[in-house]
Amino acid sequence: MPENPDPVEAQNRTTGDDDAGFVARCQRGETEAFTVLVRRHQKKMLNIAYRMIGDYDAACDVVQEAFLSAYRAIEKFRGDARFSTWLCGIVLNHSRNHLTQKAARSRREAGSLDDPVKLQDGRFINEPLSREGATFEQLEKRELEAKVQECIGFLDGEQREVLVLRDIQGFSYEEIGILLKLPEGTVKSRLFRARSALKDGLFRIFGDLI
Amino acid sequence: MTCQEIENLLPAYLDDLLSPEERRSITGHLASCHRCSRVLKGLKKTQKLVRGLEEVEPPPFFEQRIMSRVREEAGWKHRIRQRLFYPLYIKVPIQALAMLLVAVLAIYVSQTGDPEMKPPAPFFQSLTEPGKGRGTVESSHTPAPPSAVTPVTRAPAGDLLKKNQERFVAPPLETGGKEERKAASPAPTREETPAAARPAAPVMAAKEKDILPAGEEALGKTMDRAGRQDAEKVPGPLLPERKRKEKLADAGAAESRKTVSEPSRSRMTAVAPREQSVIELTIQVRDMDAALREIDAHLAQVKARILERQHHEGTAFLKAEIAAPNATALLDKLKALGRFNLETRSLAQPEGNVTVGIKIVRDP
Repeated sequence: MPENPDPVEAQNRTTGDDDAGFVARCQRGETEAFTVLVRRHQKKMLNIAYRMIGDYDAACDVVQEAFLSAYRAIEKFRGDARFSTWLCGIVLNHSRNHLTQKAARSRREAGSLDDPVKLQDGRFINEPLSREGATFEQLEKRELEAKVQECIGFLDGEQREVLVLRDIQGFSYEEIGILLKLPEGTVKSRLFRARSALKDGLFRIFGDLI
Repeated sequence: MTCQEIENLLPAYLDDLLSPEERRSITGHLASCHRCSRVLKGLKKTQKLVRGLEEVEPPPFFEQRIMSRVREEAGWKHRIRQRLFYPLYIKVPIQALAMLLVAVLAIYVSQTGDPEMKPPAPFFQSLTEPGKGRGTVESSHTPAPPSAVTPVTRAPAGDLLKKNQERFVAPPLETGGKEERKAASPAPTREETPAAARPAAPVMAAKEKDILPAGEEALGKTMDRAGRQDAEKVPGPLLPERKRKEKLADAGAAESRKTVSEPSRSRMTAVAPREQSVIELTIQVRDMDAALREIDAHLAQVKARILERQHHEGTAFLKAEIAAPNATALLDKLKALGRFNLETRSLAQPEGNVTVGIKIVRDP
């Protein structure tokens, strides 16, 4: 006995977005359909926010606000891009806002003497986790990841976005171009500069050990 | 290609995004350049580190926390949009009720508004219309009590009220005779009376009517005392007989003017800035007709204007208006006609016109 085709699945097949059906239900006022979208994308959005911000708790707050904003604006979503791409754009916006507020706050409160200071040539002095002479293998994995995350945090904001989206989250160049409203060539050149800058940052920490 | 150019192309080299020629060129360069090889090695290690970063896990109940906020938001939206505004059977009555409430409130406020919120129209009207200001002074003035009745109010003449009105209006003498003034004076009085002072006019008339009987009643008792003042203030056409017996000089007339009560004087000065100049005299002649012709001739010489002429048995009365500078010459000529008796000479203004009342009596 043939099963009746699920209308949501049928719509997903036509748009190429697995979320389209649930988005449509949300647009009709079914709040519970949004639960599925949250469940599907919460981890990815949290990781993007975490890599952008570098603070787990702040990233959780940012993602929560981003989901709320997405629900408020879901009626405006027309399906021009995948829902995950659209949602990722919202998370990036909230992350940027958080970083801007944090920078303003830290400027007001005056920097701590322990904070790293970025020089004009891009190098950092007084870096807290810098262990000159320590071998790469001697660092525990957790500490290593913290170091890499710190280096990512020192990147320029635009470069960081491209690096996170491409090298950590695996977005295609096309998706990143749509998300950031940039041509693909610009995305690539920005990504290459981000990789080089990150490599230089890691060189400064680990020396020739990498 | 230089090392710097190679170094810039190495990320694309790693992603295999270069053309075959560029790729071959870079591969050949890397084989011979230790520095560029080291950079490539570092790039590969960096990429490996970044891609090897472990994903963080959402905190417990993260989904529930998010959905709790979402449901709260949805509930608020639902309450606002659907329960209140969306159903027409609720929306329309609420809006109609609100409109009705606003309209009732507006009417209530407009009707019970404070007086200071109304435009101060009377204030500006009183400033822009001088006649009303004068009327206000007149209406606000306290009338003289009966005990301070002036000789004017006690005058026995029936047209006392009219004469008072003439004083209040003070028409120019050049406008015409007495009849014309009588006819013309009430109308300007009514026109000049401001709206604020109109209710006071009947009150004043009523008060003067109240005063009149008292004045007439007291007239018989106090005429000997006050009759001379009547003679001065009221240039009536026919003077009472007892006036003829009294000899009033100009000084006496001036003295009698001082007896006018202060409220009455102030009222007259407030409403009648000009006082009329009057000369009244009596001539006893033997030949009445001849005397009248001579008087007419004398009046014509001084360019007098005859205002009134009466002739009864044995008595005639002439009232004329002459220029004040001619008054002395006229009096000198009249003295030659017979027994001359100057009863009143009141020259309020040296310039202007003088009303001359001449009574001619046949000398028996």
